[in-house]
Amino acid sequence: MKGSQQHRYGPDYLQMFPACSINDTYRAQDVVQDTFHEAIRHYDIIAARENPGGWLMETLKNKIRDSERARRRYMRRFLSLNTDIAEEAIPSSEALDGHLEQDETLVLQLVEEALTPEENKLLKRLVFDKAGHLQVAKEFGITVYASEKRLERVRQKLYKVFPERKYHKKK
Amino acid sequence: MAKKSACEKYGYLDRLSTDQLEELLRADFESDENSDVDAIFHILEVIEKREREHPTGRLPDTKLAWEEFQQYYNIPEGEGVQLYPYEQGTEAKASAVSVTRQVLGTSSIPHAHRALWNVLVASIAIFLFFGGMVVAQAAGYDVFGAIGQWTEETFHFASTGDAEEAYANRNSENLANAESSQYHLILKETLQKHGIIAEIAPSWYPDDVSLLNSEVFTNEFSKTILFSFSNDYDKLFYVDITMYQSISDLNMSTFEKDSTPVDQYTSGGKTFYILSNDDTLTATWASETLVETIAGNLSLTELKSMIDSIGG
Repeated sequence: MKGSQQHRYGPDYLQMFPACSINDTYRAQDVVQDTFHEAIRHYDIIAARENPGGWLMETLKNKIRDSERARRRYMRRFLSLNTDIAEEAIPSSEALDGHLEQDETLVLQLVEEALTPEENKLLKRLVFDKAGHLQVAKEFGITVYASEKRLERVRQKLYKVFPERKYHKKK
Repeated sequence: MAKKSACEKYGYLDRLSTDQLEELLRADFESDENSDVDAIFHILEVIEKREREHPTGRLPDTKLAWEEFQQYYNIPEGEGVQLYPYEQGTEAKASAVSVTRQVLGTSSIPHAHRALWNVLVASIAIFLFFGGMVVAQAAGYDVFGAIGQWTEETFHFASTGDAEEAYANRNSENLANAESSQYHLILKETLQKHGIIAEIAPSWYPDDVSLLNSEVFTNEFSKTILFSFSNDYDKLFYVDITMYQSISDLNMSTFEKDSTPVDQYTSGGKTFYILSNDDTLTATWASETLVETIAGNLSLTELKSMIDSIGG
């Protein structure tokens, strides 16, 4: 990656891409940093590719997509505490946001009982407020990786409380 | 020249408004197909150029992002961790499908095999094409110098310094035992042909299965010999023997798993890790640069019987 190519594959464009593509600025920044972190770890492999920019772009896209799916899964799980939503019938983000506005009080009350106040706060920031791990890390005085681990712990707690969701099979 | 060519090719995009260009980016983002990277970068170039001429706040603060990267992301705690893990890219999946179809010698898949097929393709995609996968490391045990490390979703082997040293000083062994089945013989002969000890071939196989095919994959890191078995119903499994060039490449053997705890099963002096991933069981064992894997919709009893037969 030299000269203009290096510029083309540089952080400017990779930051612009998710910012242009999704309406979630902080998570977009988070995912770009995570993509670069992974790219650095595998620099030798990526640099040897015919099209390293393609790898970066596809990796970034995949991470964005999967992070959005993960966020929707969290939100769907909250809804599913009271309703049986088919696994494959993932509502749009907008629909979920609207539904959550209606049932937010009841849903959050149920979740709050399963989680500690700190975990509730983290979940709210990451899932409902669409904060990135960097924001949460700064707010909580932890690392971005600790933020991710705590989110995973929240997921495990929710699975324990609602084990039927863990083994729910696709129809 | 290349850049000029790209400009000519995508010059029509320059006539679109910035909002329209962003709509194209969103469409690309939502598409499951691989991006036309040159087109995407051309769009971003156009937007960047317009922003520099007439700033609207779209351009990121690269200097701040770099500082944050170094301070918050590129830290020791992040070693081997992805904040946003993602599934295999379509490129790897497509390659895996193509290769695996070659392995099985068929272009169409029986409907009954579809579910398992998807699981196997995903596993093979990781195994063969995604050596650089980053996984979080949660726990592990030392087995013949290899450490199995796993999270809730993946499992892989990692080398240890002691094992690398032992490997460097080792004496090679070649053993050939009498075969007890047709498949046993085929596997042994194939392994021997490729310089791999034949005794790691299982001599017991479930009733009514047949060997679909065997194939060899070689890349700069490893040589893989893949034997695929199936019956007339929905049973499908494979025996995979991979010999890596270096023990440090062992962590390329990454397996998808579900949250079921990893089990260990020792037989004949070999400790297999047994992983579950939906309706697929995977048993894998590593010694120095060799990784042997048996995976498919086998029952635990069948899997253990195959393990017990190794060396028999």
